[in-house]
Amino acid sequence: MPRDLQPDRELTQRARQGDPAAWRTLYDSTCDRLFAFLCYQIGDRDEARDILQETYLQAFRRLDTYRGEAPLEIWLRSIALGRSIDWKRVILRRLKRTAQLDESAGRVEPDIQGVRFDSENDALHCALRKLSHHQRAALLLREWEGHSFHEIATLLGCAESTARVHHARAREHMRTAMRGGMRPLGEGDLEGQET
Amino acid sequence: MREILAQHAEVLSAAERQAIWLTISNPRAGASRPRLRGSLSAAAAMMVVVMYAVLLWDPTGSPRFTETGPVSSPARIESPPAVVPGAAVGPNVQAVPRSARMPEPANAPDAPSVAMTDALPAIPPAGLPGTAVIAGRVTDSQNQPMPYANVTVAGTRKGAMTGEDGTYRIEGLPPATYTIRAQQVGYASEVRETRVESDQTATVDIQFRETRVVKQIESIEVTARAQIDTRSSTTKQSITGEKLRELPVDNIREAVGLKAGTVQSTDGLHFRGGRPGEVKYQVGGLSVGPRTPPVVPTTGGTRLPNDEPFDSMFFKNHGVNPFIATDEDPRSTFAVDVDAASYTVARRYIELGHLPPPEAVRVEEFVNFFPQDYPRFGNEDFRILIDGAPSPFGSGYHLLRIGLKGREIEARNRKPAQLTFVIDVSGSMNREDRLELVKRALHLLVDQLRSGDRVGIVVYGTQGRILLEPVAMGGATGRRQVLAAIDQLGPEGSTNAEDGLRLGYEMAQRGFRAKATNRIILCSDGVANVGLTGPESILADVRTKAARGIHLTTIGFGMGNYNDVLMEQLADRGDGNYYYVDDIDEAHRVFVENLTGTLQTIARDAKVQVEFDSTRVLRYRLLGFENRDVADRDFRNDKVDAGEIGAGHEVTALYEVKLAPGASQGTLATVRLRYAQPEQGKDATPRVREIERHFDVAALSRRFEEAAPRFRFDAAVAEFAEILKGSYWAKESRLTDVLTVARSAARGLKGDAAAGFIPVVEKAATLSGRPKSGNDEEER
Repeated sequence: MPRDLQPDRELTQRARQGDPAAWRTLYDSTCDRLFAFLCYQIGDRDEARDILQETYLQAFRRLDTYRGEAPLEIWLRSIALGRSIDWKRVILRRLKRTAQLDESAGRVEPDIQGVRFDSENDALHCALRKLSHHQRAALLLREWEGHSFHEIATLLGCAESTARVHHARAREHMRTAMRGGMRPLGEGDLEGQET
Repeated sequence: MREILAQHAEVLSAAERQAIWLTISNPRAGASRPRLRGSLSAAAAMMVVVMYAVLLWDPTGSPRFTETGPVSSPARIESPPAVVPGAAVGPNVQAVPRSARMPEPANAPDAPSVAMTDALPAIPPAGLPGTAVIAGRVTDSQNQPMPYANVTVAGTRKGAMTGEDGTYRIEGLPPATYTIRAQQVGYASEVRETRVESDQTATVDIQFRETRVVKQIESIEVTARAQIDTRSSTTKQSITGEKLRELPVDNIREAVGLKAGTVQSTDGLHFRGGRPGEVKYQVGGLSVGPRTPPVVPTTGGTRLPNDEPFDSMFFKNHGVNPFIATDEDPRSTFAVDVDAASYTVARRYIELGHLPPPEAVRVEEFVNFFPQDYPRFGNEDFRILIDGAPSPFGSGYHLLRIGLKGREIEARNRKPAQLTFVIDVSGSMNREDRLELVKRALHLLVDQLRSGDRVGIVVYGTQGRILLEPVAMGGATGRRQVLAAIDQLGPEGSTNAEDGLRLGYEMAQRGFRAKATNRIILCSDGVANVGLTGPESILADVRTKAARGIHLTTIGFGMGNYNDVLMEQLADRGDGNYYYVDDIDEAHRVFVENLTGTLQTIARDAKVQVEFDSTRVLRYRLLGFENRDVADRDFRNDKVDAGEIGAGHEVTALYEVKLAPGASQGTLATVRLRYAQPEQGKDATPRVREIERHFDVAALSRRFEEAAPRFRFDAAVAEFAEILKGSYWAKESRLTDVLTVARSAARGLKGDAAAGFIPVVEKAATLSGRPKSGNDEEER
């Protein structure tokens, strides 16, 4: 999906030159989608918000490293993904350590429980949560955000074919998981939606 | 898919959106600002921030180092992002609690953000050009500097804390007219108004009047409440750059370790009783490993830690058997163990480029992994075989091999099997395609089953459920049904092992056939996180059911997040065996080559007692079987739970013995095996048998090289295991010696199992940083 990168370049250029309006536009034009993306990817609204904040802090600090070769959104995704991996490491370790203390040996599965959704619709989140980080990212970036596999591969730091595999596995999983009577989506919702 | 995702996407509220913008648009304040949970009151939020700012403030203006000890939260160390290139160089590290969150805007509409008064000289507005700065000095009525006063800009979330010289600085303000409020405990608030233009600094000096205001005392109470309320109560101390240069430290870890409230241990730094994993370190925005503080030279530069351990593997260390003087205790008693999982687990580790943790190694399971080629024999249940030779690894010692060989049963004579598959389909089974391996392994098993065998399937994720009621393998439909059910397995939910096992036992109970082998086959990674999760609690239940003639075989899958303890203990208590399937070849070995042995037990509660002759043996040591120890007096107590042996199974135990000087003939040891024949029916009392065999000193081989190749090979395998286990008795041994013995022995052996051992040792040798040293015989 080739895109006109000119607006992104101009916007970042102005921001770098210190135009406050440009900073604001940059934030306003990207934050909603990025937030929704992070919520799916992280599975926790509060954490997603924190990571969103960290992402922009880092992005603003490093704006000069944006070379205008990819859409700004992709560039932000890459920062956000890096941040969310860091986050995951921390939280998993913390959960595991707690689990270790609670019970000598039996309990290790770091199910990210205690995550909270404001929405009641958890089937989708449940299914998403079972994907690996890469699978989930690939699914979201492709299905929802409509990025090319080339872009996804760059973001995930893997080969394009690998990105395709992640995506295919994730799709397959979502299809089975949500068909498995989890509610509230019927088969029809997922069939025939090739993108 | 896109519609579904779009439909359920989370939306950023306008308030959240604005709050984040305010934070990010002033990086100096935002990046180092603790994020506070919504439950904190606005005042509390302010106090925490304020406290932070106070202590970061550094009157000397030199580079400094700040340390924070979180009580219950991970902290991060990062250099303030807004330090401009060209500003003071030197170490500049902060630790900021992480679990604290940004305030919920709805709850804290007025919580001011704080731009730190920083003494670093000449810092331009680092965040957004085009904004203005308000700076100035706060004094008391005597015109003395007023430190630690709050200066806030009304209508915004911005503010600052004055430094010791009374100065403050607030950045990132859009051009406008502002009301500035200065507050200090014990003084009435002062309000000033000023107009600022873009890229300019407005100077606003404020002088407090001499007034004591009782109302202000409330803010002290707020402080106290904040310290109770906040989940990230922190204390901070600063080390100035000057001090840092004086301290006798080479890196930041050491510097942090010197501070009060931190404890150094082998696994990292503990902050105020917290665990090392709760601390996250970042230097210059670069994450430098979650467990240990970075070994960062104070002069700059980072080193990234490598070699992360596998996460959450559960093993239990049972120690290493000591040498026992025959005078004191001539009898050695242990429960038979035919499991071989420990070797496959270790092999998997090594293949992945890691040495297994010592507690994952059980020496007897290493030895038992390899077929012994004990000769076939006639009708009796067991035969005891004993041989021995001088040990190649400890000169002056002999190695004694005690082999038990169970009666072979032809596949066609096998009792029909009533099998219940209990399959873990929890989320964790999705890792590394564990579930795929389970499916392929079960395919192998089902293909081997005959008419007369029956299979039922229970799966468990968040809950257990019956996937397939038992069907006979006789017709084509039954087998097809089972395979189809296996094929459609997909991961789901958390892991309720207890529920799955309970359903499995219920199904086995319903389908119990007295004339058949009733067996549950549990396929799992050993993780249990819902319901009863500890081995003890699940096992208590299992134990009572096993007594009714239902056996439990556990088959472990997966690396990372794998629970060896649970799987082994379940099988042990459940009167069954434990296998670890690391690849499809191992599945083939368990389900195809040794299926009869896997399914049909010929002896229950088998125990071995070896009695050494104290006139001929000075001391002895059993290699392995550490967690199979049975009290000598319990050898004839048939209530004691011991090991199960399947048809054709071989069990090998190795002893290291020190012979008495001059012992050349006569009985060296007597080996007794006691076991119960499998029950005939539900209520039949088991028939207990005991057999024994003597071994004569004269039967020992003169030289190690003259011993049977299989014996020599076993010696190498056991030594390998001992080295991996970090056994005291093998501390002088080298893997290269193991290789030499194994290579020479494997030449005389057929079968690829022995050949497969050598690459594993070779790989382990490359991974091992073990210092090369010769055998030190005096130690032994």
